Amino acid sequence: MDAIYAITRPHPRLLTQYVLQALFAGPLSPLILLILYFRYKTMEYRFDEHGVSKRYGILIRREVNLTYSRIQDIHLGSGPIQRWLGLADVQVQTASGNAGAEMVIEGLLEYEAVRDFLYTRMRGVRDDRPGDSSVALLREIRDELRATREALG
Amino acid sequence: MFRPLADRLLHALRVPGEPHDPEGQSLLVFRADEGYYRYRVAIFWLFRLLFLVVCGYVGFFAVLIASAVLGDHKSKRAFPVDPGTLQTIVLVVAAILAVLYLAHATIAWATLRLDYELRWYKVTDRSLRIREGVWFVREMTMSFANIQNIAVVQGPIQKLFAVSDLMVQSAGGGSGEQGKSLHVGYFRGIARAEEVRDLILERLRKLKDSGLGDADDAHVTVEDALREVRDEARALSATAQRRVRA
Repeated sequence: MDAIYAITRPHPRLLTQYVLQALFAGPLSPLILLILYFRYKTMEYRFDEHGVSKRYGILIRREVNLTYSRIQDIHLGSGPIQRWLGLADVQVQTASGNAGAEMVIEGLLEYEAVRDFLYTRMRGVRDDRPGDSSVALLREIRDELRATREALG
Repeated sequence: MFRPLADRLLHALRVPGEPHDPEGQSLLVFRADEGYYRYRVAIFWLFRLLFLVVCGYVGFFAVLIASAVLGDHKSKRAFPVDPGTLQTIVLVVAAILAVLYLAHATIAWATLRLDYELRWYKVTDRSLRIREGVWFVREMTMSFANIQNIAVVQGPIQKLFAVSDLMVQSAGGGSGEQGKSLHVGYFRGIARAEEVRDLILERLRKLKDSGLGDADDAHVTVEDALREVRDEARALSATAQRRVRA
């Protein structure tokens, strides 16, 4: 878990992936390579207790923040090149109107661990609901009050 | 013959094996039915046939028009290329296209079998995971708390092969085209899809009953507990007042 919180930058292999991806673009390759290079250079992840954020971009800064409990479904996708490099895309979605993914966590070797990490924090996967501890606390207060009343009566 | 080749291909493409189990109890694993493979093969040949028919149709008219045009201008020598050379060019291009077509067909054919074999649909008591794809491997995970709709879809040809798709939908829109949306998952080509649907619905219902995973239910429980505390405090204050008066 701490290993996941420590993630801030994609693996350098993502750059290799971008270069290969750009090569497939044919005549537009140089332009796309430039865009992807800066995307890689500026890409930053941040995992904390409540959510995950990703930001990148130089001219146009993009930032996506997601709360774990709002995640609807998680996709893990990989093409042959990505698998050769040991990478995969973790596509995370919320219930927004987009047909595409809200956030694509790319360029991580530990994609499977990240997927499982996000997944266990998704709604409805674990038992421990936010209210549980408060309920237990309130029950204790009630019992204390009851004991006082019985001592008085 | 097929096995060693397929294994080598899968190794070269670094296709991962069976996916990890999703979180939860009482795991069930569904696989695509044999009928799904036969259905895909049927569709494969149907489209090949259709393609060839269209090609033959277009080719026939192309030759007809070409010969008419060439025939008109033959005497005037208006056409820059000699008809004999033109015929050779056409034949060579046609041969190249045919080879490409056959190569593509062979790869598509081999992929069909692997695509059928590399399908896993895993269901636990709180979530499901769908794994599909050979070139592009996709793994989709949904928790039951987020599922909005489950439907069985069966086309006329699928009916012939006694298979159907089970569609699972989570909240969130798509661009109209449902097949493209990432919010929709398919258990493709399972036999007895109705049974699987009922099973998932049953599990969904259980989830609702126990209130698992629903933030709203947890909230209500806190409120209930608060109410209990208030009632208790009220009773305590009543007792205290009685004692003071006495």
